[in-house]
Amino acid sequence: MGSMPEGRKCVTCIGQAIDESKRLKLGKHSRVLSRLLSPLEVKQIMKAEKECSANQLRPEQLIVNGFSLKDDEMAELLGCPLPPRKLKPGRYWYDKESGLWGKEGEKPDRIISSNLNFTGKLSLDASNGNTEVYINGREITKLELRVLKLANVQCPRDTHFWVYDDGRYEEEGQNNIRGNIWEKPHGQRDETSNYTTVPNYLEQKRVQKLLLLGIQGSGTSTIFKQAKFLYGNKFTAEELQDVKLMIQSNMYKYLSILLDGRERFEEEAISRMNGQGSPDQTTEPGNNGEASNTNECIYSLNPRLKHFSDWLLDIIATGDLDAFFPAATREYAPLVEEVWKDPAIQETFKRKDELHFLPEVAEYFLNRAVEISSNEYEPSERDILYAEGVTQGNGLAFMEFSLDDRSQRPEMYSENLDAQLPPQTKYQLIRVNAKGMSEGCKWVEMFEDVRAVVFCVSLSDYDQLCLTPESGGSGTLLQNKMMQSKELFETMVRHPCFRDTPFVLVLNKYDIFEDKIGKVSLNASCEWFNDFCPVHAHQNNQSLAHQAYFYVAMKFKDLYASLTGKKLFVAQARARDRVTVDEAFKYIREVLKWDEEKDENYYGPPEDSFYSTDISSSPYPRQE
Amino acid sequence: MSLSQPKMSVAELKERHLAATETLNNLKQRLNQTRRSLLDTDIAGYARSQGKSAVTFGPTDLVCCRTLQGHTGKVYSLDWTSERNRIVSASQDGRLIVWNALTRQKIHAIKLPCAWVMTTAFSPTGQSVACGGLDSVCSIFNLNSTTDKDGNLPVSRMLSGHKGYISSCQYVPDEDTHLITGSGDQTCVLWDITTGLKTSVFGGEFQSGHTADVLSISINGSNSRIFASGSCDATARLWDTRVASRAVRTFHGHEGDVNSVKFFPDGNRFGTGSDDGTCRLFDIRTGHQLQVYCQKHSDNDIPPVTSIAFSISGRLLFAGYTNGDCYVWDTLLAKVVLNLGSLQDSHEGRISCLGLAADGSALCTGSWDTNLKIWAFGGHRRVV
Repeated sequence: MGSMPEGRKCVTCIGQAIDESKRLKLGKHSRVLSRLLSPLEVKQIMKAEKECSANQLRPEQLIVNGFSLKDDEMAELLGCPLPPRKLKPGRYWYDKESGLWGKEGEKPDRIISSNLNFTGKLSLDASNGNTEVYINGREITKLELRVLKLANVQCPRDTHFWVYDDGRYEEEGQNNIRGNIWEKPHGQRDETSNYTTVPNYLEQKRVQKLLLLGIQGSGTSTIFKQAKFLYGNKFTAEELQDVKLMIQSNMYKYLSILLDGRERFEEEAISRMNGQGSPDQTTEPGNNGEASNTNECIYSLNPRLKHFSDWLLDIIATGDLDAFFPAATREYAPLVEEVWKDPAIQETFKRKDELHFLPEVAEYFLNRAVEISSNEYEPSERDILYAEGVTQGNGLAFMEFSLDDRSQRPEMYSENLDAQLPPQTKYQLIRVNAKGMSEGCKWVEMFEDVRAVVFCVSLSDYDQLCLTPESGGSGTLLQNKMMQSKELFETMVRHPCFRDTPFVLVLNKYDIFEDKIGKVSLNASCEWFNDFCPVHAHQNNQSLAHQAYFYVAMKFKDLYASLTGKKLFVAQARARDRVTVDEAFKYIREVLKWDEEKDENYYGPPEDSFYSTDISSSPYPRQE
Repeated sequence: MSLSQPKMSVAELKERHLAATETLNNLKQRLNQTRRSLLDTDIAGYARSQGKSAVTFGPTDLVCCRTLQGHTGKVYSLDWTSERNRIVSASQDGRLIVWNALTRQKIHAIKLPCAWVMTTAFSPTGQSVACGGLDSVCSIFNLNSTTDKDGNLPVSRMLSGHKGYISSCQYVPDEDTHLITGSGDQTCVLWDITTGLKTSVFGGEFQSGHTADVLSISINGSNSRIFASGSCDATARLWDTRVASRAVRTFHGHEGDVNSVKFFPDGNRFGTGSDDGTCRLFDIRTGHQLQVYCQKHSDNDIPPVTSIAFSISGRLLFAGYTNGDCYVWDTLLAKVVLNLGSLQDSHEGRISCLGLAADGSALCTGSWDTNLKIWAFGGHRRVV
């Protein structure tokens, strides 16, 4: 564009170098610009902004071997056969004989062309090494020494090596070539990491770890299992057996919650029916009370089943459920069905919103009690997904997989081998049990090396309550589950070990949310959402759900930005629908790519535009 | 619930619960006050009045004589054998390494099925090692078994049943078949290794145990039926393995998570290290807190204590801190007599674990800098 030769600079600033603190904004269009101009114009302006000479790296910003570069030295550096790519302003050292290049005070991080001439000469302490082993006159670091040892190079103290640009090395004073530390690629250009014999030195991390977190019921185990179905190995016989036992023992747990609820409702109903009599009037079901008292109500269970109910509740009270189930499952199966179908229990189930521990899937499994309890039962895929938890002990679960790495947008990559991640990047998905996470999160530090934290929140939790231990330690209190999620989210974001880790928020259970939003108001149910003010275009639930979804996403984004100053990436999912989980993982992969590129968003020869038409790079969450 | 008792409404029960909690808290406060008024002095005060002076350490008295390198991740836990000077260490890189402490040789490098390991222990005979972590399972490896085709040592037993991570484990002295684990599910469990089943559960949802994650356990060397546990609920509890239903005693005093507990050599006391930056010594017979070991820092930021150990006579208390310091306390006079973190060759990161050799001649420290270091008494001191 004629009127914006250097992008968004004001007229007086044209030709001047930019303020380094604004470097990160270069090439990224602002919202105002995108509203004023057409996308094509915006693209051209951004291109001009990134490519104009005034905005490039200046030679005086690079200090090599202690001296800033002159113009011709910089030209030589960038124009050589193997130039350093994505250079940032800073202090570096350069070894002319071997072509090793690194940040001042650190080990080498790449190999560039050898024999480039700079004013400064390589100094002994360029890497701040303390190993008393020297390469071309530079004392190497502990890590380099370890790597040499791994490559079977003999390097006792006070050894001086000459290393040539093709990887050959010899000891100073000796005239024989000892061997090769690295191999030069034949014919092919580029590839800064061409070490073949030495592992883990300049290579990028191969396995990208992803941590899946969320409170109970947020869907982390479902997402994990979906990922397993999508990208992982099939469930082994052992794993299937494990899931089966888990489903069976969970079923008894659901039943006990219902039975306990039934007792409560019965008690309340009876005391109400007996009028305002004093609460400690003895009313004993089964015994003939006075004529004016009733002992039966819709919640009363027949005595035979009551016996079983008492027994089961006793076991749960002592915490011994594991001792009986799933071992005794088959024996009690017919009884379970009878109890489930009993009208008293069905009445109790109608008030399931008051039973705070009863998960939504309880009905799904209790309806098939006999089938599930039989020896021949084999959980279907749906059963596996619906079952609570991943493994019986509900400890940590992890799996490795790789996503197909072909990008959707071909213009992101150009002809030369600039792929940020080599094909077949392996991911490791780690899912940790939500229970007890807020207390003493000491073990969270073990995950400081994860590439991203995938935090799951169930959208439909906004009106759900759950018992949580009170911080005073003296009991439990009922808390809104969305608030619980918010608290956990905050704790994780604040944790020092995740300071530089990107977070991806997955808002799950969109389908239930959509159904509910019309009937149960968002701002009334959750105090955090009390400023939700939807536009009243209530033709259908869908538009209300859309608005509510964006609102919730914005609340989390604002919270995240207020804590870290960074952008939160948000994805929507209905974890039981496998396609949405697949999309969520592909989105996570993109987030990881952006995170890598963000670090290297500096200059070198004009690069492909980062500008992406994906809405996710703008502050608004992704739309379906 | 017997049918002859009057029934109460749910609301009433809640009210009574609240009142009971309030009464309990008041009683606890009064108890603490009474305890404090009964204590006329602490150990240091008494020792000074008796004219004792602190142990003196010269620069060559305790030196780093070996550095064990090999882990590629933070070291989280270590344990010595009862003889033969071997050490097993567990690290974030997902491996257990068994070292020969004298020669620095790695005798075994065991790749773990779950990389997130938090604790490891040697069996009394030195034939097996146990480890546990975020997988909620305690895995036992027999060091004499043959490796599989990938060169890995197979798991010989898995003790599963915990509902939370395993933070700490220790074999019962002289019994290769029993061990005790402490877990994030707030319980401690005594296991029978031959059957793989729980013998007893200490604490838990419906019993009076810890109310938060258990971080550390220590078995009494003189009476292996007694063990102590430290937890995120800022208390340490004493247990008798014959009586699982409730703790023998609960020790209050710390103001933060109790990261480490260790019994004193004579078995009548035990020490604790906590997030509040102090170590404390408790007496198991009277229940009193005998001494607080706290070093004032200039910037008022006292680093948490990660792990502790006593010397063989008990005169010295070794405490590792998150800032890489490792203080050697004179337990009698409550003075720091040496800081291993300031010596040459000290660790470059947090000290996560430490342990004394069985004969008391050496201390091994493990750190987040991925190394283990062995410190030996030199000069005229062989053992303290």
